[in-house]
Amino acid sequence: MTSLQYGQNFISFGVAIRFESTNARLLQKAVKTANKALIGNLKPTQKPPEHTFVFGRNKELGTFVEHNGSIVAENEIERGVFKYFDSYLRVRIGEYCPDRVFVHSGAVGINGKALLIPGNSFSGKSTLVLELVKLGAEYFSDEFAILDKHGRVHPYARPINMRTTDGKYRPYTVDVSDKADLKKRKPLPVGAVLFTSYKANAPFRPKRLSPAEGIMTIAPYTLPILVNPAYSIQVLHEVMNGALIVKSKRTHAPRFGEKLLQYLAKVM
Amino acid sequence: MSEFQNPKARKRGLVIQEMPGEMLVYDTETNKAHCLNDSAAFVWASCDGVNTISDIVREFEANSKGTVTEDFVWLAIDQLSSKGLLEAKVEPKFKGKSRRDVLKTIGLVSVAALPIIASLAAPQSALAATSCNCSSNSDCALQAGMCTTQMCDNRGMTPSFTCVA
Repeated sequence: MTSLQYGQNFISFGVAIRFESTNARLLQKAVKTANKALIGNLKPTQKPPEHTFVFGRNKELGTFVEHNGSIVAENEIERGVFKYFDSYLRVRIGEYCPDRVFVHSGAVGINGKALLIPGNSFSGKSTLVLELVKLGAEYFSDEFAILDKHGRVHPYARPINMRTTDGKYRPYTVDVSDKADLKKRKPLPVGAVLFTSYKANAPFRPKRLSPAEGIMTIAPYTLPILVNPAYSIQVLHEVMNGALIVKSKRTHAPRFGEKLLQYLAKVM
Repeated sequence: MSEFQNPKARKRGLVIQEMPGEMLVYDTETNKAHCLNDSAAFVWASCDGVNTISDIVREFEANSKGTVTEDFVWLAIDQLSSKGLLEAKVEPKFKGKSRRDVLKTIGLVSVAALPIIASLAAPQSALAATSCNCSSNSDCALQAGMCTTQMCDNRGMTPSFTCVA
């Protein structure tokens, strides 16, 4: 395959990627988007790419992004295409990262141990994470728990993505991470995993799950489970073996956050 | 003897994690995670293609897991078969009976935890987790609050659409 006029190779979380375009501006925008999506974890490399992304614009598709030869996003609105690319790239890096297991989960540190709150987008995990941070927990992530082979959590501290509560759900961000503090932050062993969904005025009734139930329940949120299931399960086993695993409905974040911290102080 | 009587555990395409008192099995062909309790895990491990149902009952009791009947083992076999964890599909033994009735009957004569297998499917694409769960572009446009640009894209994650707001 011949390379396009402009191209750059990068490595991110161990995954070698290449961006190409005939348009220098689009390439620059792709690099900027990727840097933000991957919280600066984007370094130039000579390593041959496993994933090539091509950015272009034409009359038929508008702005488009190709991944290894297939169109993954196309639209007249360039901003929308790059917004989608931002999500797409994060997920693909999370799926193919060779030595870390990305789990769709909120993560905070409490007394030297991490609390994971697995959940999909729009499940309210950012709201709960923000509330826990307000109550004194250390911020790790509102999106991914990045787990190493020992099952410890590393920070993925993007500004917290919130939505307005005026019924219009407009997105906005809250930056709660101190960059200097983040650099010093060490990975934490997982102390607790909470599977929760919102229900108005639901009482906090934690039901404990076994480690195998924990792995089964977290599997749908585990990005590399389809690409690298054996390693994913091995790492999830490390996590669940030492953690308290609970399931409960939750009510509004401020009320629930306090109750949760009181509970964890007793049992974690 | 038919393979119904000598069930064989499937091993191909599975990731198995043994844990004290339970087992996690991830099926890479269906992308499903199965959680087997101790009884179900023991029966599954005993399905070597040679053991008969009566052999499995004997092995179960010899391993001090309690006194059980053949129906107890069949209850596990039925679940293992329906979840695709046996080499060959087995005709359901308790077809037409409610699960509650079956559990009640077997539970009364067994001194062991009933075999239970819980399962959960992983999404076909990791991108599904970022979806706004619209079923079409027009649905996404209706959720204007959730999707400020009113643009959806379902590439790689059919049937869910993703808001590109």
